[in-house]
Amino acid sequence: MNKPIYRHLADKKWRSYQRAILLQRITQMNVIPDVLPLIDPIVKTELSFVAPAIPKRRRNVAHGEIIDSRVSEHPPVINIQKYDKGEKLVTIAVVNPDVPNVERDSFASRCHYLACNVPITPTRTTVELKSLTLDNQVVIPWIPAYAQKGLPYQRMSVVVLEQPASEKAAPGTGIVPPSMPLEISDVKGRVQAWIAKRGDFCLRTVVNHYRLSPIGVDLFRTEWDEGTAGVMQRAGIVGHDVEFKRKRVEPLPYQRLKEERYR
Amino acid sequence: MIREQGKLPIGSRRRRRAIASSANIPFEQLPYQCFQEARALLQEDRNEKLELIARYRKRIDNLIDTVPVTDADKLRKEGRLRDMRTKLEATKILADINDPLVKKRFEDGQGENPS
Repeated sequence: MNKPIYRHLADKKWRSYQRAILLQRITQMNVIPDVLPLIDPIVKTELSFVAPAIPKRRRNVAHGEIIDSRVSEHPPVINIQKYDKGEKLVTIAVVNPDVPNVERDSFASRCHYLACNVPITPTRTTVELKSLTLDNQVVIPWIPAYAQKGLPYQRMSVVVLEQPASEKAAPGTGIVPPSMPLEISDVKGRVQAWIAKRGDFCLRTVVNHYRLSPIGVDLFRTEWDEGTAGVMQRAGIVGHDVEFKRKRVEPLPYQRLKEERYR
Repeated sequence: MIREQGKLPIGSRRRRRAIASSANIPFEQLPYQCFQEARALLQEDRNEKLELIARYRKRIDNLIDTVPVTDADKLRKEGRLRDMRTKLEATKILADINDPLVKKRFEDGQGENPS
């Protein structure tokens, strides 16, 4: 992908069908107003899960597919294909906007993964989330996707955010300015402070503070299945035996008619 | 069998038989008059585009060398440079897009990682 003509043809092919499907899924699943106000995908994302025990078996994920909890227990592999030249540093965030908040009878967001300073080029597209370094890339390590019993499917949105350029682009030269790397200890401190203050994770705050811009998005969903309790116990997440039930709504009184009506 | 050797077969079975049973001429030398005339025309067009690319490059270099005086001149120069750059990139794509080999390589998946 280092020739502009092949990038152009591949971009055209992606935009003709797969990008349209991605946008349809993102809009139908309401990722767009819930996680970020607007996403215009310019990079192609392909998500897949690899079980560490059997590295050859790869579970490719279609946009919006419901994945077994045992498959998403380990961090996925994302193929990010960018169609313009140059190297960029991106931030990858996996956000679940469907965490139930029982006191407020509403939903909150939880961040299942956050990593910054991931380099992508048109030729180096594979990002293995488990291989990113802890000290200068990973902010929040991978929490497996889980949906407690009784909850509807939980949407897990994977958002690829571009870090701003460190210097202004000289207009005519065609040289792509390098992206600004983020200071990981600073990001960790701020994100934890925001989560502690708000109670949940707001991706909008991170994006606005660090001037990130969304360039790619992907989506998969989880439901309660037989393996979820085990996954939650192994990851040390509290609440594997909690079941959510709907509040009983008293039925409205209605007048019974005098005679029975048979139709 | 190609599949048994672990390679992914390219093209339909009829096409693979046709290629295997013919003399091994490279695709662009196939002896069809219309095809060769069209190729000659496309080569002329590609050469024109290459001249245009060289001309645009020279214009961009000349413009970078100028020194703008007022703020308005500076903005105008930057705008012109940006637009010239966009046009140059578009002409680069136009030079290659009609080449049948480029299209073939892309559709066979070999434009992805030319190694």
